[in-house]
Amino acid sequence: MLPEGVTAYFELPIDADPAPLAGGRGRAKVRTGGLTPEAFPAPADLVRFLYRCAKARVPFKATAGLHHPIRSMQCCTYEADSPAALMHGFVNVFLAAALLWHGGSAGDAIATLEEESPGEFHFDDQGVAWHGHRLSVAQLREARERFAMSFGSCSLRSRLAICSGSGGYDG
Amino acid sequence: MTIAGSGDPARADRRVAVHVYAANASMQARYFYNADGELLIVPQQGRARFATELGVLEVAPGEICVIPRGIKFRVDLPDGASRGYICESYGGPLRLPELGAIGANGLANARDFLAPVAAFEDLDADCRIVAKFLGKLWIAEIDHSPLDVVAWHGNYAPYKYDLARFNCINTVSFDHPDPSIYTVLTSPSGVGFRHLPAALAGGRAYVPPAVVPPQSDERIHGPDLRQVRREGRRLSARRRQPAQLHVGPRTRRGNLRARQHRRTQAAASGRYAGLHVRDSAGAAPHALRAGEPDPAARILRVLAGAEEALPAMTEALRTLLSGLIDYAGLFPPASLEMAEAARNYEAYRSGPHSWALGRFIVPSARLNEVDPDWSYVVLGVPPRAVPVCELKVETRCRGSADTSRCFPKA
Repeated sequence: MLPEGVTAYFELPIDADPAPLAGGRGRAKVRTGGLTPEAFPAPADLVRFLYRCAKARVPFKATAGLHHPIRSMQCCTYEADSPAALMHGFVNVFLAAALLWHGGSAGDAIATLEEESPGEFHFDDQGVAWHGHRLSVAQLREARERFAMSFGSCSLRSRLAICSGSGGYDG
Repeated sequence: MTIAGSGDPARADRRVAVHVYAANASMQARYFYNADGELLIVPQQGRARFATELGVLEVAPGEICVIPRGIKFRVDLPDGASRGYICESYGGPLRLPELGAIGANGLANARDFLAPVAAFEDLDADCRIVAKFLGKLWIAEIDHSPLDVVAWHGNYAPYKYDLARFNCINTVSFDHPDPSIYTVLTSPSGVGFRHLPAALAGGRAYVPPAVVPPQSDERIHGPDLRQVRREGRRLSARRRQPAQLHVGPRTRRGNLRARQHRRTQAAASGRYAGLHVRDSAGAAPHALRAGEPDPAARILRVLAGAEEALPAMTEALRTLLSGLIDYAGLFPPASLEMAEAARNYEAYRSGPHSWALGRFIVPSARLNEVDPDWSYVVLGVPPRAVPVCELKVETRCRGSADTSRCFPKA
């Protein structure tokens, strides 16, 4: 059905069940934001989607709205009168996904998504620790290679600005 | 009636008692003075008219009045009955708190405190003076009114203050520094004779508040406090010497400040060595963005900023973020032209942060504009042949690929 060497991502509504994609070459794609505050899904909804993906072992990618490493209040667009929204942070999202992939509970994943303080995440050369969870580099790599594929973003700016402690990353 | 108290008036050392009073008759030929401390009177119901040696103060509910130690006075009740509260302070005279950064912009202003003009009564009669001294009441009988002062000067006088003129102000978001929100007057401890021997000996154990502004280090904490102080004030602080505040460490409480900075500091930033600095949120994001028409081009700067903020880009973070970010510069909110987006993507690919860069996202209609050497994501309409698809199908091929083979023809 699909040509060789092509992987298809199917963008699903956030309340959809990605289980039918399991086993094939199909993968899931979820919207994590948009140009209006309403477009940003609640942490519980996003975790439910990720949880189903992790259960069904369906890799996913995210799109839109992940403009900042850590969950924070930000403007939706570059317009001067842009409304502000509480945006998901891509570090939150992908750590929550890695946690779910390695059997974490949905409650812990929601707490991970809702964490707004960069200082809560402790990265070192062996792994990452937060909220009492710990994932090794190997576990992170596995989750990235097999589950949490990527996210789309219109600019790379601020993507890596994980500030330890000061919290003052460039918005 | 005393409802609360602390300390011993005999020791006259920064202690306080709280009384409730209720009266239904004016004082006739009776006078009172307090040798133990200063009286801060807060009528709650009914006015009280204080005829003091230095003049008359009429105080209504909503106002407060302070009668210093030793000033004789008589109370009249213009409204018949009155009740209220009295704070009896045995310590140093009440004064305005150090306003620090508040300046003239809040709490009580000195200009709103009213002192009486001289007034006297010429009364030859049998009068009784009641004195409170060492916690006991003593009575003396004289044959004239003691309120016979015809003129006075100086600043040791009773005064009153209208609380409506008080402006609450403070920062309460993460700390609650002195002066507290509702501090009208204060009688700080530790300013009096506590450090007198050291001061006389010329030591540095006590530096008068006038030399070290009281709030000079209230925003300083952390392990390098001593050093920061030393640098900031050009004073040499001895080892283990407590931070100098206008309020000294409380007796028998240990060294509060020293204890505090032995505690682990969560997420201490090395950026401001020991200073408690709250980074501002920065200018409003939209202002920043309006000022910079090419948001995508700022990526490299921000990535550089991230490395600066993180002493080392750790292996875990690198693993988490490696190849994570697909570049969608063609799509909103950036909505760049193809040429510009391509330029950005090339810059990212050859830049130091290429490891975090994923694929280039392109709509299917513009697939032929893309450099086939890139890894990219094609965003397209769902081919009819694909069943589950609801909105879009996105295909992806890595590395060099034949575009016609890469995207399924619908």
